[in-house]
Amino acid sequence: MSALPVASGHSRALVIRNLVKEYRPGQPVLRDISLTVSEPGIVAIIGPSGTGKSTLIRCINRLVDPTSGSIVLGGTDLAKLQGEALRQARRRLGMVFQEYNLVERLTVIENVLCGRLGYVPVWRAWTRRFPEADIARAFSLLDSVGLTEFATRRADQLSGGQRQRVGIARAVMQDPDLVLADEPTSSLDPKTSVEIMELLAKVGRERDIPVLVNIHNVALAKRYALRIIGMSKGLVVYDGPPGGLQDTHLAEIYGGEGWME
Amino acid sequence: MSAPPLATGSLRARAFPPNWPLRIGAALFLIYVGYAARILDIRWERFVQGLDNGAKFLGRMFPPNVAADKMQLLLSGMLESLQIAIIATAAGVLLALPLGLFAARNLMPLPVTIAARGVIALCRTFHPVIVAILFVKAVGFGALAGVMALVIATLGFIAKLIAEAIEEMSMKPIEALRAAGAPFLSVVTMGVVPQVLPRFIGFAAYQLDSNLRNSALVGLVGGGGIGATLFTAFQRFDYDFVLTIIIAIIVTVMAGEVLSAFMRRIYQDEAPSGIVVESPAGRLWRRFTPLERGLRLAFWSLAALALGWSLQTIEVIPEFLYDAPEQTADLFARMWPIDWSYFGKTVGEALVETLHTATLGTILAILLATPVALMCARNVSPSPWVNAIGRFILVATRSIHTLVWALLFVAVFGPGALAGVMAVAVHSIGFTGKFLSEAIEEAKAGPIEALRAAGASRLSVLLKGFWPQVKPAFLAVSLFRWDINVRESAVLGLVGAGGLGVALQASMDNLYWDQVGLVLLVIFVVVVVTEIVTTTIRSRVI
Ligand SMILES: Nc1ncnc2c1ncn2[C@@H]1O[C@H](COP(=O)(O)OP(=O)(O)OP(=O)(O)O)[C@@H](O)[C@H]1O
Ligand SMILES: [Mg+2]
Repeated sequence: MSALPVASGHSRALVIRNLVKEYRPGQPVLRDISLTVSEPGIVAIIGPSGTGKSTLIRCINRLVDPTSGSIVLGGTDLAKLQGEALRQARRRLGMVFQEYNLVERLTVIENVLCGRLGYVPVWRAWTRRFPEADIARAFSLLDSVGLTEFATRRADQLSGGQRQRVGIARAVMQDPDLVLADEPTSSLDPKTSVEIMELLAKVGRERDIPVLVNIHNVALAKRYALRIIGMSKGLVVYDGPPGGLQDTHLAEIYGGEGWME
Repeated sequence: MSAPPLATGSLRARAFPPNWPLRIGAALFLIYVGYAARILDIRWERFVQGLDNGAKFLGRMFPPNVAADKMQLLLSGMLESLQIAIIATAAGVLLALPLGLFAARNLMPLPVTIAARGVIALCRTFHPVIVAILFVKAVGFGALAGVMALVIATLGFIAKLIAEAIEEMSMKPIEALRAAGAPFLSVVTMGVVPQVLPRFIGFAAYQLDSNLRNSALVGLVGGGGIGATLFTAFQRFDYDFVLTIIIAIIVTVMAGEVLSAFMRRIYQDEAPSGIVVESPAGRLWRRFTPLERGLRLAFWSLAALALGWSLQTIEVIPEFLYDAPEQTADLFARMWPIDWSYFGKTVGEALVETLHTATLGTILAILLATPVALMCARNVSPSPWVNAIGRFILVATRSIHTLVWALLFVAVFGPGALAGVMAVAVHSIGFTGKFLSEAIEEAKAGPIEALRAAGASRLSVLLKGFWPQVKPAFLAVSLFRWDINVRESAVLGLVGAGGLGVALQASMDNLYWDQVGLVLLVIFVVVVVTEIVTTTIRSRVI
């Protein structure tokens, strides 16, 4: 593996060092992960089921608490944060979920505005009186994900692909420095999956931020990612451009070869 | 096409082989009913004699008394009950919101949920009548004691349901909002509330009409309202006025049900989707259309007015209110040390009587409720008239509380457990029948149509088409009702219908607080054990 890049001066760089996660003591799921992500665009994480991809992503925004190691973003170590400071930091981390995780009984626009909850006081959430600038931006985000007509539709009336677009708009609404996406396309058909990856790539490009995507579809990963991270058994076993990902790497990541035929 | 012959040598299969476990179960069941009836001294002669009395009693009830002075009494009693119900619902629901949230194990740390669950269990264990009695002793006769008792009941009921609703909601959106850095209260506002609101509105609306019914109840023991008027009428043998009051209660409760159905419709069906407005700053979104905003404003103003009116008329003497905790504590202090010897003398026997009353009452209720449920179910009885009559029976039996039914049946059958069994049975018709008819209406039409198409008789359609589909609901409802009936049977003695309530009344009349303490403890244990038994059966069988 190549040495970690030294020049991580980019203020938005995510620098993970020696990250270990054990759900049960003595049984590490993440063994010793060190990564630096600073370049904008999609960084795909691939690897077999159960290897700890979701755990890694959820450690970054602390939906899961790491056992040891540091996760530095823009100069702060996310692994050490608690309470109010953690909330402040989470605002800068957008997350997109496999099952969209929308509030079903709220409208699309309300779901997008949920991305502002870290910024606005509770009374605004209660009365739904979000700042006008936020509302205007929520609408323009809906335009850019192609859901202009659906603003006042309830989220549970949307198709999977439409819901994922709302999920992405909600993440972008946070004004994130980094977007995390845990298998954003696994519940979608092939065509919609491509559209969603397209959208995530656009978010990375236009906002000039890294988009870390867990994905099982290697072809999609190769097509959209600028960099691929291959994980196996809690370790990073490949880290480089999609072009360099050979069958031997895939065999190492997923194990065996018969499945590749 | 001819079917191939069955493999030779095998036993001839019978379509419906005799079901021995069922037969043995049925035999044991009959033996139990006979045995329990003997213990409770329920005999045919007494029943027949009671019917005779009942006819006379009915004769004295008709025509209902509508003299001007009585109407005056009725009106002031009803208004006070309404006020009690409004205050109790508002205060109870308001307190139940945080309590239910604290009890939700998926949002709160363990110690907090344990504490909150403890409070909820305490509120739920004692029948509102017992709570009312204690508050009457603590703050004196009148509406305040009634309000406090109903607040406790509302609190326990609603908080439990809120906690359950929160625990059943999806955690996925909650996780997303947390990941976006939302503070806890914003997570509750945008993630929890939308998910539990429809059910919450349902409970709150239900609780308002339940409190209307219950306010008739607390009055029986000095908690004010129409219950007090009713009890006085009974004591004076003004049976024609009793009938007037009962009709008035039924009508009010029915009106309450219509109102709460209306409220559910406004708030529950569709979450508002809001409107998009163009403004110089760009497109804006408003949560409500002007019409929706107006309706809501009207609703809340009305609610505030009703509450203000109630608070103004119900005399809440602040000194009494502040004094209440001390007085209640003093009451419990006097119960200590508990007089254990009272158990052998009276309470043990009363306990057995209470359990049998609840069980026999539930069995009888199911027998009575099944035909009514069939009348109500539109997929069984297509005639709207039959449906309407069935529904009326359900509402009427349910509107009159068990304790009020017990008063009536004591007048008919004389004091004792027979009156108790009848009261439990008749009041339970409404609840049991309602849930049964809903289960029947939810039965899938496919198998039913197949049977009908095959020319099956009505009875076989019921037995082979509906019964297998409604059986789980039937068992669940029976079990749930039995649980409730155990609680109810424990207080029936307060009006002379047998069981633990008789012992409670006797020791209270004599001011033997150490005996009161024992009875309360026994009731507490029985309720807890019943709840454990029913939840275990439910999780095993259903
Ligand atoms: N909350 C948890 N408690 C205990 N063990 C967990 C928990 N979450 C995940 N694990 C375990 O950690 C390991 C890694 O899980 P993780 O979900 O991170 O894998 P993954 O690579 O995302 O798999 P997939 O591709 O199937 O989503 C698995 O063995 C899993 O059983
Ligand atoms: Mg995963």
